[in-house]
Parts: sequence; structure tokens; C-alpha cells
Amino acid sequence: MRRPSAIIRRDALLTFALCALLGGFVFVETAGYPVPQGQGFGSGPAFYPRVLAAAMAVIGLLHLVGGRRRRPPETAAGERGMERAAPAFGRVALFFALSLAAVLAMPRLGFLASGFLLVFLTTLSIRGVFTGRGAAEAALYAAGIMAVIWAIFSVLVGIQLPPAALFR
Amino acid sequence: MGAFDLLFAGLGHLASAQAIALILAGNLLGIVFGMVPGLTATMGMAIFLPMTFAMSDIQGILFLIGIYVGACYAGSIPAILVNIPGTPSAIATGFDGYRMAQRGEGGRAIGYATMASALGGLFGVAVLAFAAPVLAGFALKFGAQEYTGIALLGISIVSYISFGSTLKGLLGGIIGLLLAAIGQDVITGYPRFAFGSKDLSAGLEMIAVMVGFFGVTEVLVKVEEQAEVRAAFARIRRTLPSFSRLARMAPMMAVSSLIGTFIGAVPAAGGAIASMAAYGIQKRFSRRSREYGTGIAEGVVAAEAANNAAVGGAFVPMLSLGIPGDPQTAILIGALMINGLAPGPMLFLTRPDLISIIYLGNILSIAVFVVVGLAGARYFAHLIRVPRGFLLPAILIFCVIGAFAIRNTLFDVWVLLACGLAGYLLQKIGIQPAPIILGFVLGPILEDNFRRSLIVANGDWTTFLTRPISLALLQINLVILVGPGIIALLRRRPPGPSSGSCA
Repeated sequence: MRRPSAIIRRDALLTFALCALLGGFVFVETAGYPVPQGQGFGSGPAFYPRVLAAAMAVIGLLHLVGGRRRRPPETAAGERGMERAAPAFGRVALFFALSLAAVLAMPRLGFLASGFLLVFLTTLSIRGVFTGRGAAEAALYAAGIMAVIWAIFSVLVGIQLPPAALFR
Repeated sequence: MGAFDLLFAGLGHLASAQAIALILAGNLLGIVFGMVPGLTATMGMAIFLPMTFAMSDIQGILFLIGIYVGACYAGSIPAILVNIPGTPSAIATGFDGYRMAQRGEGGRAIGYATMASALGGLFGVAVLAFAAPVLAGFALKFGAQEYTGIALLGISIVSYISFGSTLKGLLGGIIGLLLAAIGQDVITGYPRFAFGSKDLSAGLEMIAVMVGFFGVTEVLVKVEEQAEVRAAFARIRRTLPSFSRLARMAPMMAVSSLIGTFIGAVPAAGGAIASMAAYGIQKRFSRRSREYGTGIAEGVVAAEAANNAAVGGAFVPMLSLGIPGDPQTAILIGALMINGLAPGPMLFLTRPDLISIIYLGNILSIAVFVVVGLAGARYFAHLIRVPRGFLLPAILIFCVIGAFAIRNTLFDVWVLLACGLAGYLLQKIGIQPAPIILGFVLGPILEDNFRRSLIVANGDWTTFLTRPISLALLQINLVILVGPGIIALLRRRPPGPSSGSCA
């Protein structure tokens, strides 16, 4: 009977990759930082981030070593068992992209207009209702929320919301 | 100042309609955030933290304490009515509370939860009032080496207690420490990780980072889940509990409150662990042990007394040592720092009125939620059904304006979104936001004290080992981080030839 081979869990690999990338970046970036003379060990700006990066590297290695597991034996039909359902990244990506677009538009359209678009579009994307009535509800809701925000932050707290460059 | 003097030092600040209005407003907001599944006390405090700019330090703290205390209480209501806890600290409440609701006793269960929360909360404040000054007096003798050990202790404990592995929690803490290192070096002033940007040279704004990891990350997670609360619940009738029965449960409530306060005082432990521990212990030692989980009031009372007592406990390390007891007190530390105040033992000497306000704010918030909870639970309960399609965009826009409001710059909004996305992706590999934020808050304390210790000792590492308290703290850190791993390794070793195998 064939012995099952050891493989490394995906999250252990990803964690190791994160530690390696981030730790490596810190070491490379801090290589050019000045080293003050005559102030003793640990006084330069690079010291502390490098200690953290070294700790991160150790953790990454521990994850890699601890993330080994045995490959499960194949069934008679040659399957490996049920795969987990893929996470709904598309929904999250759309939501986040709409948020980014609204913030990018903020200097041009101003906070109130771009905030309205942000709430309106994200409400539509989550509810998944794109009919006339759904859009009207989302628009009314977005207008209401922006009115509340304007009342609280602009009137009550006294914060100047970003104005629209488009209308200057 | 004695404990009683401290308790009343800030009484004058409460004698205003504004202060009462802020506690009431904070409580109502906290109840909303606690009641709606998916929203948390931490999220509510993070989102409304920027609003405290327009308030004085005392008003801001009162407002945030109102949100904190209100949310910790209100999480029990959906746990009882639909078996979905509004906050993690209400998980154990649902074990018996939901069964009571199924029998038509939902209102009574809410009544017991309300009174237990109130009494547990008052117990926690009482312990806080006496323990914090004693610990603060002790902490005034600490030097840079000891503060390094305490900051490391906070990171170690949050790593150990983190959902998932200790290593992942530690990694999250280190990521938070690295984020805190962005900007001008505290000793040489050299701009680190700035890439020529003036905005990055100034460092990352604490509120933008907190709201990003606690607010935007949660929004993205909820967008992915897309599960709505569709459960119906029976009409809530009477909410007033039987006071004679409550009086008979007094010893049990005292024990649960003690457990809750003690666990709450452990940095990063929080109400969830406190309520589960208290429920488990009461179930183990009660005469009605077998009935726990079938719908008895004792189960609700045990959990709720502990989770609100943990609020008082969480303030102990925050006030006496300047390290957060949980994510909510991390936000309160942020609020103090915005007002130029350094949390820690010196506050007892420089701002006894603020310390008093924290005690009195807790007590008043408890009084508010008792009245609001008993009278208004049947109306607030409908909040459970607010569709996520409306809730999540509103939370996002509040996060955006909150981040912008700090320094009136869009850079902080970009930081908010970047932290939100990073938090969402890190959760996918098991790294939670709480260790990251605690690392970010503790970062300046750790680096400043660590490097000062080395500079003063002229680079001699043994300075951390020659001071007894510093050495003890390092040993505790080592035990917390390495101990469980060694125990697990020893348990996996194969048994020797004389360990009971049949011949």
C-alpha cells in the first residue's frame, strides 16, 4: 500500500508567503536608513522594524513547518472528496470597487454627491434589485442617509465636507 | 486620592443637560449596534469616535462609554429572541434565553438579562474603583524596561486568546506594530516607510486604521455572507422579572460578576470569554446543573452578569497601565490620545476628574439601559430585521466621513479603505483585526520604552533581565507564547515501553 505523502496546507503557504514578502520588504527598505554613531545598540531608525521583520520571518517558518499534513488517500473513484465552495469574492470586489470609485470622484463631485452615489450603487449591488422600484428605493434611501450625515457632521459637529471642484 | 474621593471627583461635570443627553444618545446608539446582528460595540465606537472631536474630553468619553455599555447589554436581546447574539459576549445568553423565548417567556428573559447586566456592571465598576488606583500606584514605580514587558504582555495575551492559532494572533500583533512604525522615528525623527510622501511621514492616523479594520473589514465580510435575519419572533409582553427570584440568585450573580471582572481585566480577553467561562462554571457547580440549556433564568443571569462585569474589568489595565483590556478600551485610549491625554497611572494624579467620569459614566449608562431596556425592548427588537442591503452602505459611508473628519484630508480615507481591504484579506488566512489594532495601539509604547531602555543601558540587553519586575514580565510572556506549544508537543510523544501496553 502506498504511504500518503505530506503536503503543506494552503493557509500555511499563504502565511509563509506573507511573512516572507513583508519581512523581506522591511529589510530592503530599511537598508538605506542612517545608522547613528556613538549612541549605542538599538538607537537607529532601522533597528526596531528589523526586529519585527525577523520575528515575522520566524513565525512564517514555524507556520510552514507546522502546516504539513498528510494527503488524504484517494477513494475508489479517484476523487479527493468534496471541495469547499469558493468564497463570494465577486460580490466583495464589486462593493469595494464602487467604494473606490466614489472616493476617487470625491474631489470632483464633492462629498455629498459622491457619497450619494456610493450609498445608492452599493445598496443596489447588495440587494441585487435592479428594477425601477428598487432603484427608486435605493435613491431615496441614499438621499436620506446623506441628509442625516450632512445634519450631523456639517451642522452639528461643524466639519467642512469636501466641496466639488466641478462646480467651482 | 482615596477610591471614594475619586468616585465623586467628576460629579460636577455630570450636572448638565448636555452630559445626560450624551450618555442617553451614546446608550441608544450602543443599543442599536448591540442589537443588530453583525454590528458590534467596537464598530459603533470606532464609527462615532470622530464625532468626539467636537466635544470636550469628558463629553467624548461619556458618549463612547454610553455606546460601549449599551451595546454590551443589548447583544442579549437578539440572542434571546432569535438565537442570534447581537455581540459575541451574548453567545452564552442564548443557550437558555432562546429556550425561554420559545416557551413564550421572551420578555421575562430580557428582564432577567437586563437586571443581571445592571448588577454585574455595577459590580465591575466597584472593583474598578478600588483596584485601579492600587495597581496605578504600583505602576508609577515602573521604568522603561517594565513598560516594555507590559506592552509585550498585551501582545502575548491577545495572541494566545485570538480566535485561531497563537502564531496567527502574534503575526497580527506584529503587523499592527509595523503599521505603527510608519512615520517619523520617535528618537531620531527619520521618516520611515514614507516613500517621499508628506502624509506618510506623519504616520497613519489611529482612527482611520481602527475604523478601517473594525468597520470596513466587517462590512466586507458581511457583504460576502449576505445572510439576512429572517426569523420571526413572538410578541414581547411582560419584561419585568421576578425580583424575589432574582434575590435568590444573588450569590450566583456575585460569583459570575467576579469571574467576569477578573477575565475582563486580562488584556484582550473581553466579554465573550467572560460570559462563556461564567456560564460553564455555574453550570458545573449548580444544583440545577442538568437544567442549564433547557431554558432557565439562571443560565441567562450567569452569562449576562459576567459579560457586563467584564466592562468594568477591562478598564483596570487601561487606566492603571495604559494598555487596553479589549478592543473597545483600545478605542477609548484612542479618544484620550486625540485629546492629548496619555492613558496610564499618571491620569490618576493629573486628571482625577476624568477617572471619576469613567466610573460615573459607567454607572449612569447602566441606569439608562435598565430603563430603556425594560421599557423599550419590544420596540427595539424590530431592529433585528433591518435588511443588510440598507445597513452596510450606511455603515460604510459613516466610516468614510468619520475617517475624513479627523484631519480633513482624503489621505485618511485611503488609509481607511486600504486597512479595510487588508483586514478582509488577512481574515481569509485566519488573522483577526483585534491583534492588529492592539499591536497598533501598543506600538508607540513598546518601541519608545524598548529603545529608551537600550539607549540608557548603552545597548546592554541584560537591562531587561536585571530588573526583577521586568524579568518576571518576560518570563510570563515566554510561558504564554511557548508554553501551550510545548505542552502540545509533549502530548504527541509516543508512550515508552512501560506505559501500560498489554504483554
